[in-house]
Amino acid sequence: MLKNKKIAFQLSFFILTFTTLIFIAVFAYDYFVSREFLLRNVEVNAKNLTNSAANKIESVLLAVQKIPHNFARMLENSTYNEEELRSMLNSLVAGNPEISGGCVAFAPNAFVPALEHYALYSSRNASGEVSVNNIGGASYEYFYMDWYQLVKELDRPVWTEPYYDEDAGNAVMSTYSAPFYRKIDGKKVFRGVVTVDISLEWLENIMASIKISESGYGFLISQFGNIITHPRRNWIMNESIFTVADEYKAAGLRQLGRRMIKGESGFAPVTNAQLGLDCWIYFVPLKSSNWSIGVLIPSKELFQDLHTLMNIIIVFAGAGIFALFFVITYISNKVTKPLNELASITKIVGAGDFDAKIPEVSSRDEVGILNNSFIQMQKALKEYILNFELTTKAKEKIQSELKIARDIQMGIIPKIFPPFPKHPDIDIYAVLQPAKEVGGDLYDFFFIDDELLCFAIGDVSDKGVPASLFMAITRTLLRAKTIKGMKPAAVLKSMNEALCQDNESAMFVTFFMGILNLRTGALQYANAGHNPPFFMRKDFKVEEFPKPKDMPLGIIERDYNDFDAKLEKGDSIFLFTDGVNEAISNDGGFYGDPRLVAALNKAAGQKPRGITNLVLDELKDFTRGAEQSDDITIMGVRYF
Amino acid sequence: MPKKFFISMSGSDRLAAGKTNVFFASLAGILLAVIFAAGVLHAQTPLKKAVFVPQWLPQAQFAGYYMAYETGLYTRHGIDLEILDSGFKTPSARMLEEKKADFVTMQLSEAIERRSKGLKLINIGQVSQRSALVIIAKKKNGINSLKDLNGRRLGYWRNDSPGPLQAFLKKNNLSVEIVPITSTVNLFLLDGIDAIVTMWYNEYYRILGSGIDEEELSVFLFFEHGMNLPEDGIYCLEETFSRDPQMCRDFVIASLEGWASAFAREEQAIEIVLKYMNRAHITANRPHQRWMLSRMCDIISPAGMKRPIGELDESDYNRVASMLREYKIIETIPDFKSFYMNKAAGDVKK
Repeated sequence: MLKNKKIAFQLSFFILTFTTLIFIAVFAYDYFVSREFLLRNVEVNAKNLTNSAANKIESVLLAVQKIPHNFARMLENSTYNEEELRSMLNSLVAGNPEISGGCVAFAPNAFVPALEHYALYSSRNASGEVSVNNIGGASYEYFYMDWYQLVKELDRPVWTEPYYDEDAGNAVMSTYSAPFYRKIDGKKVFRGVVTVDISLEWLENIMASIKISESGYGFLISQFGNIITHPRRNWIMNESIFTVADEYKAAGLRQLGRRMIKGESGFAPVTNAQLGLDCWIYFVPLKSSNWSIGVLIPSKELFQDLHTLMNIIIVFAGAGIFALFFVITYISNKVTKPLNELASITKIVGAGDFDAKIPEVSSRDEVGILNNSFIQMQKALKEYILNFELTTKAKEKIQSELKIARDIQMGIIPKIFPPFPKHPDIDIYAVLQPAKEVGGDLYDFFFIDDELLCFAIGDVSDKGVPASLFMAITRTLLRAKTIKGMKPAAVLKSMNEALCQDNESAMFVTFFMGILNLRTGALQYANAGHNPPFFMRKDFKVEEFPKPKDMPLGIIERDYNDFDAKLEKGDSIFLFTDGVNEAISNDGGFYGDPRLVAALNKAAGQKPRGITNLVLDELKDFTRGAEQSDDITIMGVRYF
Repeated sequence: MPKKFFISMSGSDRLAAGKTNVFFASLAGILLAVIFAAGVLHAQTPLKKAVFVPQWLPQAQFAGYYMAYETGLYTRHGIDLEILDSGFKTPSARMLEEKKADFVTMQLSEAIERRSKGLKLINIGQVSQRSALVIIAKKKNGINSLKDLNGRRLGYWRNDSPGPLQAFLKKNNLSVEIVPITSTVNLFLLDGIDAIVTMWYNEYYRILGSGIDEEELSVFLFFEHGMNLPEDGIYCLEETFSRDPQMCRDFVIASLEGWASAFAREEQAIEIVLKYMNRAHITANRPHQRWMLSRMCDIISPAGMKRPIGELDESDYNRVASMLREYKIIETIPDFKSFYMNKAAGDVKK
């Protein structure tokens, strides 16, 4: 389809398409590389921020962890009564303002054998006073509380899941609980736990200090995914990252949560339409408590600058492509305008107006060269046509002269058949078909007296006008030199002498001449290099004349030989030129003597006209429309 | 020290719940007519004061009662109801015993045990028809089938009756070490125990809500392993029933209507439950309560149940009681006819 469009369109289409494609490729590459680059930068930034927050939190948690650890070591390495224990516990809370409470909880019957439950809890009230109470008892089965049971069963210290403490003003708290042991018979036996409670309010300040992008924020989740800090305060202690993911059908968020609680760190995208989330989250674990910090950066803000830049690039590129369109259109119009004009002029010139003015093109580019070539061509055409007209006129004149020559040539050979209505004892039929307008073949027959019939056939060595002139001379000589009483050889000798004189064109003619005595049937003949004719006997036999020994006429002066033959009534003679047996078919083969003999056999018994026509028909079939290569002459003579 | 704890997290089985919702929507329609008639009936009479204590803190396990209360069903049935919170410190059975509550909910096994030990309580409506007990284990610890539990440490709520678990273990020929636990699944999450016996409607979701995927868990529901023990039912003292059988009947009808309404209007019911949870300062989130309500629907009206909701099947009763006797928790099986006096279920059926 494009092939039919104008060059301007094709140029615009291809150039703009490829330019756009190249632009898109470059743009896409640039976008993704920049995006990756930006992400890596933001990741580093987020990582630093998050790690910094994590370190701050860790430093507090680790410091707090040391308190029960030291206390536990003290319990393991010393003896104490209840009074001393109460005092120690009081000091523990009073001396560590960062903790709001501390507890020593003994395993069943471990402290006082008679008492199953024994757990001293020291806490600070609102006015800062520290008190110590035994909280163990049937109504508070602390053995099954996480702060006791997890430590005992897992045999390691734990940070409990954060919880709301109504007594501490609904603060979010967490308890760190460490085991202590006693050696009995060299074996380490679990004896209880030492716990400290801390408020996690300070966590909020640290998390709130994480500022990244415009509205990015940090959040903290526990080892089970429960939300400890988050800007959406109603999620704190109510939701876990997994319940939020469930509520909002955010599978990606759940996957992220699983990575976070496994203690992994990383940078991952999370999107959820319901939650309005389209962000990247950097996350890092807190080793001490197995909690995890996440820092969320909205993608929109993350890529805002990039998107602004890309939008500008798109606008510029769009404008560039638009401008390019006009430039291409301008250039292609500049190129095609002279071409179009040239095309119009060419039509006019083609219609025959060779004087039509081709506009000059000043440029020397391809269009200029083409234009000049056209101007040259126009001039050349003009001259050619002029010459052509002259030549055509000349040729036409020659043609017409040739036609006249043909008429004349045809006029000098007898063409009325049967030629001698008053002589029923003889029938002659002859045909001459020149290969060109005029030919070099000839035949002739005439009575010398009442009894003697002279007949002859000849073939000039060339074709065309020179041959036809030579033929006319030959025929004229035949009539002039044939004098009653002369034998054929004498006639030929006389003709040959005449032809040899001043024969500068070195032409010659093969010639057969016979004189038939109609009364006796005696035939005298001489053959100057011509194809031997055939006898067609009345008994249907076809016999070839003897091969000629004498040279054609017009070459050199010499003597010729006479031959005698006898015709019975009903015999015929078939004479021809080499245009018959040397006729060439389309595939280059010669007609040849055998075919000719076969044709003559087929024609046996027929009259000269019949024989002649049959041979002509056979030739026509054989050559199948191939151009006639030589003059064809056939003559049949029948004697009755 | 932790005085509070999480009770929560996500889930979904809304297809099953959806089907039953259609049932309950139509049931709610029928009940509305009853309500209207009852309302007219009671319009003239002064409201009777009553106290109701569910057996645990507010959650969707009791959505029907809160829904009935919030939508005025109790008032329409002539009861001026007060709902008190339950919990460790104030178990509903004790509230009933101390006559601080007129109506309570309780598990069937606990109620039979209490009655056999002399507390004159009666069942006036059996809400749960199916055991919600489930054993959950992690596949990563090599537990894929029940027999894999042999020799493992199994966490079990220490306040719960040991009967159902013992019966389950015996029936399935299992020998395990039982680790008593309270209130959290954290020991299970931290692999301190290999498996946990807990409630399908509650802690199962808490485990999912702690980041463990369903595919990572092996789940053995009691009722799917030949141990169908109906659980929550509505109880009052015999004397309350003798004094005012009409009120007992009205309470049960209003409560069952509340359940039908909660299943038909799930989101509204969850909203109400969350309100009560917030009021009680317990951790609460919507997906967990939605999961719980859907599971309650499966338990209260299991697919294919023929009898009307609220009815206690005598064979269920005998199975639970026999099990208790087998484990020497009770000595004699209390008479079914004197234990179960539901005057409401039939009416609801009408």
